[in-house]
Amino acid sequence: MLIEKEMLMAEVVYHDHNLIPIIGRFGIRMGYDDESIEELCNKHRVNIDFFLTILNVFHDSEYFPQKQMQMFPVGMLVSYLKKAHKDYLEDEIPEIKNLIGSMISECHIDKSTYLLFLNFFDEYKLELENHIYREETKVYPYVVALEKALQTGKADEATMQQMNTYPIAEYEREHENVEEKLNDLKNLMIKYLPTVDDDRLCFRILRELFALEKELNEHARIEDLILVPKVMAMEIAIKNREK
Amino acid sequence: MARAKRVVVIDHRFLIRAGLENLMSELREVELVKTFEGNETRLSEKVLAKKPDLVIVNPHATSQGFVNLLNNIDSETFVIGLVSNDADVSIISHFRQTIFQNSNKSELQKVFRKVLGTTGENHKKNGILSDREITVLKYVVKGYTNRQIADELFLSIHTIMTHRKNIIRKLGINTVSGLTVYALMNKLVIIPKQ
Repeated sequence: MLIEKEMLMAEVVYHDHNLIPIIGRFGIRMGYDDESIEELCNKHRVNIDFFLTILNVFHDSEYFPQKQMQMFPVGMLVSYLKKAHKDYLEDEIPEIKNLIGSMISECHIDKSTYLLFLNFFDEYKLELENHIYREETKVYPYVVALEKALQTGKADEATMQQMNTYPIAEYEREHENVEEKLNDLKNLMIKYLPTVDDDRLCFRILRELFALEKELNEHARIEDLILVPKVMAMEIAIKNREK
Repeated sequence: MARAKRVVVIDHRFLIRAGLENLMSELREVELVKTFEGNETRLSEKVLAKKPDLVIVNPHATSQGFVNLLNNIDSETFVIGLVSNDADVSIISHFRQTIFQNSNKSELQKVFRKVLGTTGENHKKNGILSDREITVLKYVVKGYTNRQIADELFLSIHTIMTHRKNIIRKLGINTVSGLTVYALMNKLVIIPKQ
């Protein structure tokens, strides 16, 4: 299903409830009434095309944003990505950690294996935090500076240097390890963690891990499909101009 | 790989023998070679013929003379007494090591591991990694590079890489830290005491 602006928001959510947190990142909260996407976006001063692109990327993993979708100001993109990061770090990761903590405190056999699992989760958490920190302190400011350089016609020293030493194509390679760790977490839990007393708790942790994985994958797709091509185009434009 | 440790159990109760057999099957490099009820003729000969590394014996299932004989045979064979919870000191004192009938699983495993010097549960329960792959995994977890592992095992670096690929494929775990958790969970390596 392609999500379009004439659709009722409530209808979209009936189709795919996983979109609720993503819609929320745009400041559009539940209680959609019978309003269409267009009406709600206007009410909340949200760019409709951008909103639809993000929703469609999340909803349909085959969806490929069209060329004109790369026309959004990067500031808009970056501010969305940062909101998503905040959700991961402040809500989703701590929630999973709490659940793992409950699993350990309720287990009456040897806890050491579960503590190892928690330890591994912490390692993953740290790696994700570092990755996000680097994006927010190195990559995003660079991207915003590039856009400004294009608009003003003047690129400052630092931006030029980063463009030459660490272009955007470089940073994309770094997603991989974080994804692998999350995958290992799931596999360890499904295949190798000894049975716990509370199956429901285990199931909830796993459900959260799957949900987080899906979110992060789509998040990475937004970066790969929208942010990176856009930045690459800007890098080329600036290089051509400098010649 | 070291030869499996051979264990013999002597107890008159079927359930106890079956329980110990089950417990032993979960230990790595351990084989329960024979169980006896304790009233067999020429019991000591039969037991010794098995060349056991460990004999678990219930003193009530057999004669006092047999227990004394066991304790004197050969320093290579360890003898554990399986005694009741309220057993008298005079009985317990016959053994270097005892286990109790109401011991829980982890207590029993601890004793067996200590006595047999094995490192842990039977990974074969998980059933998938070959012995060689386990050896390689242990080195990987300890932070050895492919080159170093190849040198240690007198194998080519290519072989080591193949082993690593197979480990990852079989376990579905890609990262070294994930493999470490797996190895620790399965007691393939132990955390050194601080």
